[in-house]
Amino acid sequence: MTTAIELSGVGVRFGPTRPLRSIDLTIDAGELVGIVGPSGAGKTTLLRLLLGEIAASEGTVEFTGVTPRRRRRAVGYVPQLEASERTFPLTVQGAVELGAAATSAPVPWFSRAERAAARHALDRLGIGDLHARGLHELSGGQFQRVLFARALVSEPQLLLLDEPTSGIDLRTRGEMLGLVDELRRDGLTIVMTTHDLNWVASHLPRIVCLNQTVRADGAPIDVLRPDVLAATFGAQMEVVMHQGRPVVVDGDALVGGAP
Amino acid sequence: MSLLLDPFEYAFFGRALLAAVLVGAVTGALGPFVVVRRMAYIGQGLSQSVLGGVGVALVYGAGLYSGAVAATAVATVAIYLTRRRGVPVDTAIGIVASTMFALGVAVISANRDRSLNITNLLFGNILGVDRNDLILVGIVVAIVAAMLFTLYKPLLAATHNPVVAAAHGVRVGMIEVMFNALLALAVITALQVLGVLLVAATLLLPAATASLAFGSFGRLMLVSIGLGVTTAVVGLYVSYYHDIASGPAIVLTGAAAFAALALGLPNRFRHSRAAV
Repeated sequence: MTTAIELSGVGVRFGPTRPLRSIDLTIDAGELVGIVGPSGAGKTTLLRLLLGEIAASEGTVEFTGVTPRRRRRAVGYVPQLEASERTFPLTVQGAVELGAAATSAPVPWFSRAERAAARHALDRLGIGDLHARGLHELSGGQFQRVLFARALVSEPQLLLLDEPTSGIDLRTRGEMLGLVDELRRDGLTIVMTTHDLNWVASHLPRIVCLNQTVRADGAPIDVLRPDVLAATFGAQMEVVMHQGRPVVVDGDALVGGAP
Repeated sequence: MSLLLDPFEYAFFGRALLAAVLVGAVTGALGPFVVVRRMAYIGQGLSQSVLGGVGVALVYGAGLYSGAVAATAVATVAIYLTRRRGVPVDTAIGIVASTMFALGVAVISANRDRSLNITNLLFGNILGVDRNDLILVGIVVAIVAAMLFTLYKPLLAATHNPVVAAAHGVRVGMIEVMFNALLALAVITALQVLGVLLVAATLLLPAATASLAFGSFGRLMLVSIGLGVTTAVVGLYVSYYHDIASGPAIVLTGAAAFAALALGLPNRFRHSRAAV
């Protein structure tokens, strides 16, 4: 298996704060990895490192053997769903084409090849027939597919998803999971951040627990243990097994707190 | 027909019309970005701040445009420094803009030279547009057109979602600096035609009117430019025949177009969730 991402002894400092320290992490090409941790654990900083937006203060970050900054256009990024993006006056096709804005010629229109690539990305995600619709006319699931299509239009090798399960309903989550699985089968390396422990436990093959540094890394059944969760989230959580999978339960709920 | 041609008996009307059309096109082109970025307060703040520099420059014998450029630079630095003290951006703009506006009024009102007419600065004096003003407006229009032509796609990507645009390789920081510089240029060149108090309205009205009906940014921008030019021309004729200042006449024409479309457009043609 080829190595896609390799972080060795990585630390990041912003003035007096140190969101990441001593990170060692290797992700192979074609892997699907979930990064979990509480707010402020450094998940977004890790994504920014992989996007090449910031450089490590210590250690090295490599994406296919070079710094992510040098391979920025081989990375697709899907942000959290934001309501403001959906009210923007753009058609679906127009929004997806913007994924190629950085590499496109300095004229106000996209080339025939770029328009075809955007249409291909929409077809790949099963929403080609919506290309002429306005963004405000889409359902949550359809809009998330548009965000994926925009990230895929430049044919990236690495896809970074920022909290993809946040703010979407159960049906849309199911659709999103199918989509991610399909893209992984096509050979894409996918890294996603999330707060949603039980969702990653039941759907992802590998979890990295992050809180400033890597607290645990492996299959959900090996990683989701009360001691690891306490070290990562700073809170007591119970883990029960359901149909062979770990299910995380808030400690308060077990002692008669809010269900 | 004579209603349209009669004003051309006066040489100033031709110059005024050309200046109004060019300014209408520039503010109409930048307006959609201002509206979807929800930056209306920045246009207002920039134009009000300009009065301080213009007032000082005119009283001390410098040109209107050099005062406006200096004021824009001072306002930008003052807003930046105020924000560094932890003041929210809209509050910082309000403080700086009001202070510089008050400075301009104070300097001009304390001056004994009655040739300085504060009404012209506040509400525009298109009759005072001379050949040099026209050349300056023409140069700014050419710069804005060239920049928008070459940077339209990265600017649109950065406007839609700056985080995603940066992630996909758009140089968002450079784009932001460029856009704010274009906005300042547009405000400065529109001063003579529209006046300090009304420049911001012409950045908003054509774009807001177009966004009622169009869900595609490209079409919205073209219609906004068309509306900017049309309302400038109609407003100028209204100004000429009713003997009112050019700035208010153009803004009231734009406001009438917005009200007519907002109230009269059938729902099936309405882009109901436009970001206005």
